[in-house]
This record gives sequence, C-alpha cells and structure tokens, in this order.
Amino acid sequence: MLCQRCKKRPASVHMAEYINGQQREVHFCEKCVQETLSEALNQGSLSEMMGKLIGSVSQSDGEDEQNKTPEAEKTYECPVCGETYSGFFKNTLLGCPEDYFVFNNSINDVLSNSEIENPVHSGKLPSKSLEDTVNENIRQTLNIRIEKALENEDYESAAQIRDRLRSL
Amino acid sequence: MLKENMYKLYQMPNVVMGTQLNLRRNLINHRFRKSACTSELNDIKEKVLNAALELDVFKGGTVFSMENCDFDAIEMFLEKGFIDEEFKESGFGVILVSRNRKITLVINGEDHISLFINGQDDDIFESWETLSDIDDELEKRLGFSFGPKYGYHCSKISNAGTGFTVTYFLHIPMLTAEAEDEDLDFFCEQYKLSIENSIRDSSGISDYSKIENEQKIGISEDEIIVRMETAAVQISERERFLREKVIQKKSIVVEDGIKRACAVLKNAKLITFHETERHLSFLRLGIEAGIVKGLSLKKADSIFSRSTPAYIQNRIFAADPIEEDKFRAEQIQKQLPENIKYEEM
Ligand SMILES: [Zn+2]
Ligand SMILES: [Zn+2]
Repeated sequence: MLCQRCKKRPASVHMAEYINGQQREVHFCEKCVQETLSEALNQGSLSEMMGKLIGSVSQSDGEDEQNKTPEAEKTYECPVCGETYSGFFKNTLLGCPEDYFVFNNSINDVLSNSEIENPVHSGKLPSKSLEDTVNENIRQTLNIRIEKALENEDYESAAQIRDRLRSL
Repeated sequence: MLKENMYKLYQMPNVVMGTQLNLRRNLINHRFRKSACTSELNDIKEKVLNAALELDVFKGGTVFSMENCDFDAIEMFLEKGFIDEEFKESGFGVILVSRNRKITLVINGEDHISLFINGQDDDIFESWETLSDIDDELEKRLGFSFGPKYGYHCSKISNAGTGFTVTYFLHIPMLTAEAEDEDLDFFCEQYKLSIENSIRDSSGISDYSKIENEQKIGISEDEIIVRMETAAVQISERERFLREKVIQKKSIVVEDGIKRACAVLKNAKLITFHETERHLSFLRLGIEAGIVKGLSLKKADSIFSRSTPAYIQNRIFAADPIEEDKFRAEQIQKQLPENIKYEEM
C-alpha cells in the first residue's frame, strides 16, 4: 500500500478518520508523518496539522490506482523489513507480512503467472477479530457467502454465517 | 499370470501409502525468518511454544529444541520434510510432537508456525478438522497475519491464501516409469499438483512418489482436499491399468524383480537403504498382485519405515556406514515373516 500523501513510499502508519460518524482509513509513510509532525511542533496545533495531512488525501483521492502498478513497486522498499522487489522476486520469499501490501500488484502478477486465475483467498477466515480493515473485509466476504448460501437454499450454513457476522 | 491374480490386482490397488496435511501460519506484527533478528525469533519461539503447551493435544508431548537436539532426531525431521537445512542451523527452531505422535508443530521454520498431521488410512476431512481446531486455539492466543486478498500471509508467496498443503504418498511404479511421463503431466495440469519421486530405478519399475497441491489460493481447504482425493483415485486407477498391462507384457521382469527382492531381503548380510527401497517396492507389487503370500502390505510398509537412515541411526551409533548396512539387513530379516512365499506367475 502506497502513502496517500507522497504516493511514493509504502504506507506504514495507518489511521482512522471520522467524517459524519463514518469511519475511513488513511495510510501514510513514516517520512510524511514525521514531516507533518515537525511542522506541527514548529507552527501550530497537532490536530490542525493532522487535519491538513488528512485533507491532502481527500483532495487527491482517485489518483491512487495509477501509481499502484507493478512497475512502480520495483522501486519500493518495505519499511518494516527492508525487502525490495528484486529481493523477493529472486526466490518469492518475503521478509514480513507487510510485504503483501507493499508489493501487492507484483505478488498478484506472480500468482497469476502460476496459472491461478483469480488469486483471492477463499478459504477459512480468522475467528478472532483483527484490525478493523480486515474485519470489514471479512464482513463483506461473509455477506457474499450468505447470499450464496441462500441462493442454494442452504439455510443452515446461512444461519451459521449470520452468527459469525454478529460476533464480529 | 493367473486370471485370479489379475483380478486381485485390480481389486487391491493399495497405491496410497500415507497422507500428510500441513498448515502454515505467521504471527501478526512479526517478520519472517529471512528478516527477523535474533531477539524477535526468540520472542516468537517463546510465545508460540507457551500457547501450544496450553492445548490439550500437546499435553504430554515432546519438545525438540534445535539448540540441544540430538543429531538423529534432526535427521528424522529433515527426512519427513518437517524442517529444512536452515532450520537445522538456527538456534531458534523448536519442534513439538503430540503424545500420539500424529501431530507435529514446527516453530520458526520457513513460517512461524507449521502444523503437520500424518496418517495412513485416516479420513482426511477429520484430520483437517483437527488441524483447524488447533489453528483456532493458537489464533485466539497469538493472532495471525491475515489479509482479505492474500488470506494467511506466508513467507513463500506460493503458500499464501490457505497455507494448506495436502500430500499423498503413493506407490506408483508403473506410472512413474519413464514411458508414462505424459500421464503424470496430465495429472499435474488437471489437478494443479506436483509429483516428486523418491527413487527412479534403471528398470523404471520400482518407485515411491508423493503428490501435493500446488494451488493454495483461490481455493478453499475443503476444495483442496476433494481435488487431491480425486487426483489420488484417478492416479490409482491409471496405475492399476498400467500394472495389468505391464505385468502381462513384461511378466518376466516383474517376476524376476519379486523373486530377487525376496532372495536379497532374506539373505543379504549388508543392505543399503536405496536397495531396500527398491526391493520392498517389488514385494509390494507382488503382495498387491497376490503373488507374494505371508507378508501383508502393512508389514512391508513398516519394514520400509524401519529401514530409513534416520531410523537406523537412531538405534546404532556407527561411524562406519557398513555397520549401518549390516544392522539394517539384520533388522529386515528379524521382521520378515518366516513363511513368506511366492506363487509362480
Ligand atoms: Zn509519504
Ligand atoms: Zn517487509
């Protein structure tokens, strides 16, 4: 995942923002957060600066997809483990879980090249609630599964999934 | 060959020698082995081991720590494919084996957690449930790295998704004979699996192999199991068909192999593991065809597993390999039944 401010470095700081009671996730690289924080210390209040930081994202939303090409990822370095594109490409061994976000598109390419048509997880899900982002995705996945179960008139499974949804 | 024997061969495929399920998991907020520092590896080791020892299934189990584990045990784990060379060198690798010896937990291997369950004629779905229950319990205590797209994050990209591997150990000498490579390619493609051969004899007739699912993402665990079971059945059927054909066409080769195997296993003073493997493969073929009497498949397989270098080295500490080969020959002769016979083909 790329930093939403500079769109150059991988994001390693994840924050939640609330607009009209709706939660939204924002992602920044450490450098951008540091820059913003030092500006805040020099000039104004922290909340003001954070507002600016998040505001910069709102303005340029939508340009994200263009930058997230496998080509761009070849220049990235994982902020957690220091993994580079050439490093993981050599033996497809990654340095840390964060690499799955940093090299998202390249990994997709590697898996697609090994003749897997749609490399998206479709098996077991973690039972414990993880981060909110993951939970949201689990919710979506479970909703799709309920629809499928109802389509197949498999009410027992549908009820089980519904219980699972409630427990999230 | 008697028509009756042919019928028996067809009725007793017995191609599957065993199964192994493997589940890989990694802790949230921890780097993989390639990048983790020593204190992080130590931390992972302690966290996972403490969590696992709380589970009933590992109560009374055995802990093997790479720091102070004896050489033979390590060799055995290597042979079973539980660990790799890097694990052997690392001072942070730990293996926990359940009391019934069926379940093995490898900590700090290629992934933080690697669970194995081995079986012979077990129901794979039941084994998967057992693994999944252990997974749930460990997850509650540890938290695993997971993302909506790539599922369970693993050190190797090809393991991402379910992190789940199903392995069948097969005795498919005819299918692995070089002439039948096309068949194997077909199965690999059709079921997205890989085939690995342990030995390939010059006659191309004796062979033990294993098949594994290559695809781990975009497919559920249940689907993997069904796919691998279907593949194993299809492969068995193809093997049966080829055996009939080969035994008819090259019966003298098969007969020679079986008789030679009996003679060598009964009388050898020295025998290597490789030679044992090849002869036992022929004996299996003979048992399945109903030609060899007085020896069961189970017994043949148990002789096989008690002939491996790891097993032998666990029992004798010989600097000289000749001592090992001597011990192996003696052990085989102790286990081989007295009344083992073969019928004329
Ligand atoms: Zn940035
Ligand atoms: Zn990383």
